[in-house]
Amino acid sequence: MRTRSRIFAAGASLALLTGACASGVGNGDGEPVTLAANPWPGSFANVHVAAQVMESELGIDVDITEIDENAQWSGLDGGELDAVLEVWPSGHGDNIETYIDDLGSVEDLGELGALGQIGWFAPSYVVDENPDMATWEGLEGNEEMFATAETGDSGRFLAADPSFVQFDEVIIENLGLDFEVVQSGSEAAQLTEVEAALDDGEPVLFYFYTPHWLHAKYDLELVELPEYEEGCEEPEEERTCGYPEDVLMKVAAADLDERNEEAYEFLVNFQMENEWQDEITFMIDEEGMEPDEAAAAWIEDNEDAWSAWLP
Amino acid sequence: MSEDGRAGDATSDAGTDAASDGSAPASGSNTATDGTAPKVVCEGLWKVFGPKPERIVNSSEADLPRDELMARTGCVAAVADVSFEVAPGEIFVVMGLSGSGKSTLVRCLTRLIEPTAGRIELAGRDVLASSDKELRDLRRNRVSMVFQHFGLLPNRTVRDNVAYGLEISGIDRATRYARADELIDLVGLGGFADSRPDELSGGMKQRVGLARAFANEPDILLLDEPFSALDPLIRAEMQTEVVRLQRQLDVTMVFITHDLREALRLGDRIAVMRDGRTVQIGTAAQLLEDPADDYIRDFTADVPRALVLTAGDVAEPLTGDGPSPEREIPADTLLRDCIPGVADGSGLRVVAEDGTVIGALGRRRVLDAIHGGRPTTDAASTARL
Amino acid sequence: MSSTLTERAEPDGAGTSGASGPRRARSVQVRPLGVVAVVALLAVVVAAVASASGTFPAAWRVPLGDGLDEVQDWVVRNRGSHWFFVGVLTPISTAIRALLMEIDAWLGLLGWPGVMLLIGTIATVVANWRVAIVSVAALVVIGLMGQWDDAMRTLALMSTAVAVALAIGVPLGVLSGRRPAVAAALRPLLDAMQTTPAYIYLLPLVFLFGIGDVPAVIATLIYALPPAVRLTALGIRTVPDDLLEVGRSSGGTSRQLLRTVQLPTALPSIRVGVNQTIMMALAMVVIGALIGGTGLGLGVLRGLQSVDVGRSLEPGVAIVLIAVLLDRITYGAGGRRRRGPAWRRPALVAGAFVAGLGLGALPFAREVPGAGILAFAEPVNQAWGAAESAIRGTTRAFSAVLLSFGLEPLRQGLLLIPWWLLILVVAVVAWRVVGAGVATFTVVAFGTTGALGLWPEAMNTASQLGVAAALAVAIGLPLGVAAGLSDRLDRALRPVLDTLQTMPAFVYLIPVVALFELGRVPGVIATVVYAMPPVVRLASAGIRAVPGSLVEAARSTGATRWQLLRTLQLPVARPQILLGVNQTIMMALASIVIAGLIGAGGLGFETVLGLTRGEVGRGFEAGLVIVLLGILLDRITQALGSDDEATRATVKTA
Repeated sequence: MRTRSRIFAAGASLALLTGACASGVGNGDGEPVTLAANPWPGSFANVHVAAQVMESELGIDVDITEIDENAQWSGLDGGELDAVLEVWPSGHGDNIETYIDDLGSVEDLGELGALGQIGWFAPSYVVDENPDMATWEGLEGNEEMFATAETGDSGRFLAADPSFVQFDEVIIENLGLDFEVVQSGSEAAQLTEVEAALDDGEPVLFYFYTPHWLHAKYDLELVELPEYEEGCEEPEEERTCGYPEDVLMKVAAADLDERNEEAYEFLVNFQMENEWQDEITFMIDEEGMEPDEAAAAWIEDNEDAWSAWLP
Repeated sequence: MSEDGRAGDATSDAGTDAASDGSAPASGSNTATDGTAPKVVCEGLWKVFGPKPERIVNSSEADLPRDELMARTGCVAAVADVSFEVAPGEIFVVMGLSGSGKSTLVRCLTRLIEPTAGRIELAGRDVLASSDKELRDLRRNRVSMVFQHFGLLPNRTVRDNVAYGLEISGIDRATRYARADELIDLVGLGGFADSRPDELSGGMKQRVGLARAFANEPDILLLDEPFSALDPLIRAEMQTEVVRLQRQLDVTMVFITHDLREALRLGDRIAVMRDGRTVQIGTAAQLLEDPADDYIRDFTADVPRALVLTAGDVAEPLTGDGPSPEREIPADTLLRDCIPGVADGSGLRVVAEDGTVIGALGRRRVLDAIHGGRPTTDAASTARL
Repeated sequence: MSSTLTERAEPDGAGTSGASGPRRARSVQVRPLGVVAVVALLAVVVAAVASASGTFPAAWRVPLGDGLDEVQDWVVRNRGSHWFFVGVLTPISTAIRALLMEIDAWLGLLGWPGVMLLIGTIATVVANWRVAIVSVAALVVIGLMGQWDDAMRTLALMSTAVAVALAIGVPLGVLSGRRPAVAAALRPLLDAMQTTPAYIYLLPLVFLFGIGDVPAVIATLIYALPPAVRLTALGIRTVPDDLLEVGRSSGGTSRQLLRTVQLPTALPSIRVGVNQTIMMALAMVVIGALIGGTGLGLGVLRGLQSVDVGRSLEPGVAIVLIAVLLDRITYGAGGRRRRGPAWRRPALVAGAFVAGLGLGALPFAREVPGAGILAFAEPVNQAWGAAESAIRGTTRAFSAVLLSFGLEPLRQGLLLIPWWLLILVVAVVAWRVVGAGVATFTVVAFGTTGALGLWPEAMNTASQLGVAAALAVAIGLPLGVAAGLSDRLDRALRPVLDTLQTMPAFVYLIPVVALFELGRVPGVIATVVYAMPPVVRLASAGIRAVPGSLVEAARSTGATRWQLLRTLQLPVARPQILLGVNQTIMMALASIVIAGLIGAGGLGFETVLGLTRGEVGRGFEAGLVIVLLGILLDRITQALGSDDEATRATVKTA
């Protein structure tokens, strides 16, 4: 039933939308809002918390559409989506330029409140045994430890889901390390492989990020790369520095404030700190709760936090 | 069934006309007219497959053997300069081996295959000059066709198959069903009207094919090897059936076959085709008694004459002198059945159905005819070895 | 000699143009193509001498994708205002959405009892009561697994896509069946529609039609349309000439011929087309979810994204059940003779529909009672967890062997061979096996690959494809032959093969990675699993089709079982077996992208980038190479096998 009401509502919102476009009237009090959920638990956590608070406290109908990160920009621009609550700016430079700066059809709603960090990760048991490996210099000369059948004598560096912008190949080459980058193809494949290695106590080095539920399940260490500084990524082919901290952001369709001012203001106020997100994603991934149940449980315990978002 | 069903004894005028015409010595007689307008006229018909087919028509190259013509021009003359006429009510058989062009010929008649050159007249209409609409009209109302593999639409009942042509002509359902049921009874399939083709035997299927062909009361029926796909017993039965229907419904037939026995049995006249050309056109007796060339001679060599020729076919004219034989025998008696009558050396008087005396038949004549006019017994038996 | 001539001269009802026409036309065509092929080969040699290098010269790179990226940019900037979007695409999208919502609403009104009654009735009416029981049982299981709502959404999406596909495909098929020129023009387009990995056009569809169920339906439509066109055209084309002559000699007009002869006679083939269209549409259920499509596909994707085997297996099993249900119903259709008045069957279905609406109004019709009691995600995950750690050591060892003795040497070898020599060799093979046309195409295809800068990726993919196809045939062929000889094995294999062919590959991606280590090997394994069924099925069918009289004749000479197989059954079944190999290779090609999702790299990975990184141009380039490679492989392997088009088309889709 849930799914059915969703498409009906989607159809209805389209009808309203075209109606609004035709008449040019922008006052749509109580108009439903469609939030994008990207395929990672953190995104689900944000969206379900926001949706439940908006529905119960503001009486706004919220639809959730599960969608790929790249396709979502077109959705915001085309009117099928109203807001995305967790954008990692480091991977979306082009989209931000096109849709926010040039077209102006998407609006920056400000920071989410969580910080993201992309980097190279290794299991703690590897770093504990080889303390040098806390930094990249320690990897030098020990690459073969990470070798697998696929990479032969070189060490294996497990790349991320291809939708993330990655510079590991360049960094590895410029740092003179003997790693072969193995493309994961999808986050699911990468996680499966990493978990297999972790369960077996094998060494593994991979691109990863926080916040992510994997950190709650396993002890992972961020391997230090040359620190990111403004401009160190230019020119790209000479880059040696690691990844900057991502200040996660929220975006919305540019006309959302005209169509549903209440929802717009709520989303501007909406915040999700790393710690909160970790709590929720842990409930989803380790306690087997559905995202909406986990969000409800968190809302129950954290009224102080979300009451501040209400307009 | 019995061999007595031979169509040569057809009582229709055309049948006797043909027979009398056939008694003339000419082997290339291709007309069957005696004043009434022919139902089918085919004149100088050509069908050439290949690039620029027109240039082959009546050219010297057309006389080349087939493979040579193919090698030189890339063309095949499937039908080359064929002419004949068919009288009303006649059964005209076109006989030839596979590849002789007979199927192409019959398809050219209604332009299922577009002829390259020539003139065709069906029921008095110039077929090649017809517009699409006139041609459709001709096919709907004047000419029907029966096919070797029956051509029954598998998804339709027997009734709907029989009524097919009428449906195409835009006849309303009640009328065409009534007519279809009539014909289904006529061909002896009463009770099968609601069956589907795949529930019928081969012979029954072709009965449906015949009923469908007769449904629009055509003047002309074209039958393309209609019984080739049937078992011999069923085939004989169907041959009898087709003669019966032809008499009852009085249609003119062009009957294609590769079976000499069938041709001899059914044909008022028979055209033998080879490599696209007609080698001989004539009655069964003419083919047997007066073959146009060695091809026909070899072809007919194994025919059991006693079972094909009739007293009328081989009767010698009565000469004034000598006594007229005492005993009479009908002209349509097979030679086999004349043997007891002539065995004792006495003669027989051959009489037509209307009582006129056609001629006389003696032992010598009967034996000669059965023997097939071969020079000596020795030569014949040597040739067999 | 003369017999062939007479065959030509006697068209035996081969239409008006005569049998010799097409054959001649071809022999005339071959000459210029031959010249082109020679010139192309010469060009390759000259180029080789000029460049004197092993990999394709980088200087010859053609940035085809950049142009596409510009187009994409233009689309993004103009789609709100340009007439083409406002006046053409928006109405299409609105119509599809309306149809989808309509079907969805009716399914909702029917509720679970209504849907079961309706589908059961349809199954009884078009197939038989046994199929009806299987169908209703499948629906019950779906309900008890707790997948009812998602399954109904998937059913609505599929029905919409299939309805539109048939509305377009059948008329197009009729046209192409009646006019060879249309067929010739459509063929490459249909080939491309079937071989282009969906990942390439997903993002463009999002730009053109937005996100959600509508572009998912359109993506499904693109993939599912070709069989509807092909099998309709095949049905029309293979109407026996004598039936057409019946119509013509009865004085039928062209339109009457279509209505009374061609369409009714082509109906069995069209029915297979409907069946195939539905099966193809089901194969797109998960792909559609990548751009906002909902239903079971989204469920599979969610399970995958949270690395939860059990959770993605549940909707996966539901998809298999729906596939089996729809396959049996559409396959059974027409198998039974219609008896009784023509209005009876529609009346029964209409009756069931009305009664179903009544049932749907009952209070318990909204939620399936006991929903979730058959949910098996948890036990599956536990069992999987135990099994995985138990066998991972062994499977990973196998993986290492396959890599170091199969995949890696082959890839290295392909990269070591100078590019021009490889083109030359393949072109010569293509020439010998098929003809000059395909040889020319080979040069063009490989040249394009090099010019797009995808040579190393293509070689990587080719090595995986070779190993996967070889493994699939090595396992599938003996299995198929054995099944052809043993009824019991054949019966046992059938549901397994059905499952392998309809289970979305996304469901078993996680297990293969866990067992075989992320990289090329899990891709190869997934490909073998996915691509093996056709060769098993066709080998079995081929052995079975060997006439009993021949087997008897061979037996009577005292042949042993092995001799019988070697001297008679295998040679006679050869065309079918080769067709199976062809199908297996094509399926393997289709799973290149799936392999790209689990670390296989190569062209599949490049294609995935087209969607996931928004690089439409790059994805398109890789996709183009896959399509070219696919058409090339298809033509060569098809030429090796049967050239009986009718068998091919039916089996291809079977």
